[in-house]
Amino acid sequence: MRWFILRRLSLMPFVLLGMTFITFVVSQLIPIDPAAAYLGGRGAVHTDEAEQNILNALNARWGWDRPILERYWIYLTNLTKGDLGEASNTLRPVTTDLAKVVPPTIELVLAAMLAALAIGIPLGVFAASRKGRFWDEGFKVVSTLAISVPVFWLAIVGFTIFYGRLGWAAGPGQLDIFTRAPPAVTRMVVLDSIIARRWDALWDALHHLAYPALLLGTVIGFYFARVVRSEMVEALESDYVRTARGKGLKRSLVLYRHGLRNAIIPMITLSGLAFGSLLTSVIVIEHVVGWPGLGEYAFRAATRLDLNGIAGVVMVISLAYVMVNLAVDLLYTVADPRVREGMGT
Amino acid sequence: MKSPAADPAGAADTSGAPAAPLLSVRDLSVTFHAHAEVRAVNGISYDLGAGEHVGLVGESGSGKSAGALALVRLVPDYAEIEGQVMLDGVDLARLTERELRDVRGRRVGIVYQDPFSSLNPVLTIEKQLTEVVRRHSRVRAGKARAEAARLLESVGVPNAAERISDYPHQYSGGMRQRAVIAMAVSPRPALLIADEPTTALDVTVQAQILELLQDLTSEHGTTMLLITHDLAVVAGITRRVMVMYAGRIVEASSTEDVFTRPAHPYTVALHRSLPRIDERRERLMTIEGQPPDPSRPIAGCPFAPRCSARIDRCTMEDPPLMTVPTARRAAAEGWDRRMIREQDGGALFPGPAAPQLTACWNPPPPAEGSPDE
Ligand SMILES: Nc1ncnc2c1ncn2[C@@H]1O[C@H](COP(=O)(O)OP(=O)(O)OP(=O)(O)O)[C@@H](O)[C@H]1O
Ligand code: SF4
Ligand SMILES: [Mg+2]
Repeated sequence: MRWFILRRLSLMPFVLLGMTFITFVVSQLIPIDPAAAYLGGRGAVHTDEAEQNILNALNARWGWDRPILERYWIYLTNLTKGDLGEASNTLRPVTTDLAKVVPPTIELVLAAMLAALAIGIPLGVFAASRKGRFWDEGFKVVSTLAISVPVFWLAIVGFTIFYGRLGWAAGPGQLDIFTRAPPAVTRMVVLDSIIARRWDALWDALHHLAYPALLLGTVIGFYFARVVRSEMVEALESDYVRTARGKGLKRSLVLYRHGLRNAIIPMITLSGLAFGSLLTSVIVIEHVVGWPGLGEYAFRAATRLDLNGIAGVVMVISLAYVMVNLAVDLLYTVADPRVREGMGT
Repeated sequence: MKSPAADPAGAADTSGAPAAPLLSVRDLSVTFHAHAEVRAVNGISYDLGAGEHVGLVGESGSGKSAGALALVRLVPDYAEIEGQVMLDGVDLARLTERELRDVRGRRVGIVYQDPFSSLNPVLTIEKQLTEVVRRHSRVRAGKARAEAARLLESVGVPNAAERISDYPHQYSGGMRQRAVIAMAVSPRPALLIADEPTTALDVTVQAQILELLQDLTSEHGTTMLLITHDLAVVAGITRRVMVMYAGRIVEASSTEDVFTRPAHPYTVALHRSLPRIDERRERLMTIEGQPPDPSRPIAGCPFAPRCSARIDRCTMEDPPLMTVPTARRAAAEGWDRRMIREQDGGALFPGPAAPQLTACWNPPPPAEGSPDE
């Protein structure tokens, strides 16, 4: 098991190398001049000599006029020193930016994941245990809607209703402007509030977290629920569940210990696969509710063609992918004893 | 009609004289409402005496499992069960699901057909054993675990104390079936349903498992319904045999009679499909033709299309269970059902004291089909 983890982790540098290279090549292929983008233009034809001078100066300042391979080489040598370069969109080191924007996103993703599991698993079990009956049919209709409606649309409409009309959801950001932020330790405001014992801030932070986390959690939760339902239906028809019932076990034991314990195994893989679409949704949601996270940052870096910023975001996301996949594999071995044995624990 | 004698192999159950019925099944039918409507069990009735060992024999698909598991309603939601199932004077068919939970495991233990799928792959043997101990005897977790280990040892799993923390996939088929048996007998049920307990196992293991079942049931005076498609399995274990075909009981006899003078052409055919040691080569003849499609109603005897003894009445009227002498005369003398019943002194069904019964208009003559003796 330890070897398995080490082997996976040792692949990480290669993944990063590959990802940064691809980012560089792709950004080179985009027919937009970064210097022009920096100025807010979109690759205009620069006839004006003064303007051309500014562009030249910018190119020299950021090194955008050098050949791509040279820039990539410089980037890599800096990378070994833990330096991701300067973000042209904030004029700060990318690492400083990331340290600020990554924790809020982790906070949001974790909260959404928790909500998704809390919603999805019981819902799936419930629907499966009533297969073909009223509530199951209702579940099918609602879940089909929930996973086919575009998230950005849902996020905007939901925000208009829950914030704009009903006033249930908190406004944009992580905290109200009148709430004094707790000292930044983890930069996850909920955690920081707890650390600082600032209960007013905690309440406000949770209030702000609720809407994006519940919206994301519901959408992903319905996706989970559909998987859980179909796996549960299969498990409930299995011989081992019949054996469990034949022992006279209680319904909850049969459903959860015997049924769900098996149905959850494919769920692990699928939630790993869902991670990609979760990230996409997070970027959208962050933009809608003004969450100061990685998604917002990525959005700004992309629109301003901030090459270092984009490369930094890509690196974080690839790291996250590697970690999630590792976690999926580890969870898998915990959940399925047949796999555990094959790996020579 | 003489009372059933000791079975041919001599190692019968020791319960002796027939006792009061533990289980009385009346007109049990099971219909699966799947894409097609399948009537897997078609109105069967029988009694099992307390402590009796009875065989239920029939081809694959004849409704043995459906009929046995329906006793405790262990069938899918889309299966409809009709009839009466009296266990110790309580009609199981009228119990709620919650009430049935106290009967399952506790009063009725089940050993399933396929030990490779009947255990939960993600739970240890210990967990699966302990949960049944705790469910029915309300002991503390520690005591239940000790009891589980003792049980596993008692069914002959080698190294039980260690192997108890294994997962099912680490067990051989025979060991899995032993674990399933341990779970089934743990609450000391009054009735043990053994649904083809050896079909999925190696020949060498089969005899051991049968012996184990016989030991455990005799030890506690447990009633056993031993289901098999192989007549040889019941020899030496059960006192009586019920032969099932197409969801009905077509013959009921003492085990001896089934071997020496079968009273139904289907039983005769089953004998021919047994491997015979007295021939040079072991030959496995299967019965020609196919059993009827259970999703279609049949007029007449369901065995008629495959039967060489078929007469005119067979395709017109379904024969009821009757005594053999009555059966021999019924067709010849044109008796209708009422007269048949009168002749037999009522509608007959298999039970501890019942005579040899057959559902056939033209039962084989005594000599035919008996093994060479
Ligand atoms: N879950 C089910 N859904 C639909 N039909 C079923 C189901 N289970 C059994 N049947 C049908 O009911 C009939 C009897 O099946 P059953 O399993 O009782 O046979 P069996 O005598 O136990 O055979 P085997 O020796 O193969 O176990 C078969 O025609 C089968 O196709
Ligand atoms: S009733 Fe007729 S067809 Fe059926 S088994 Fe007897 S002889 Fe054969
Ligand atoms: Mg069966």
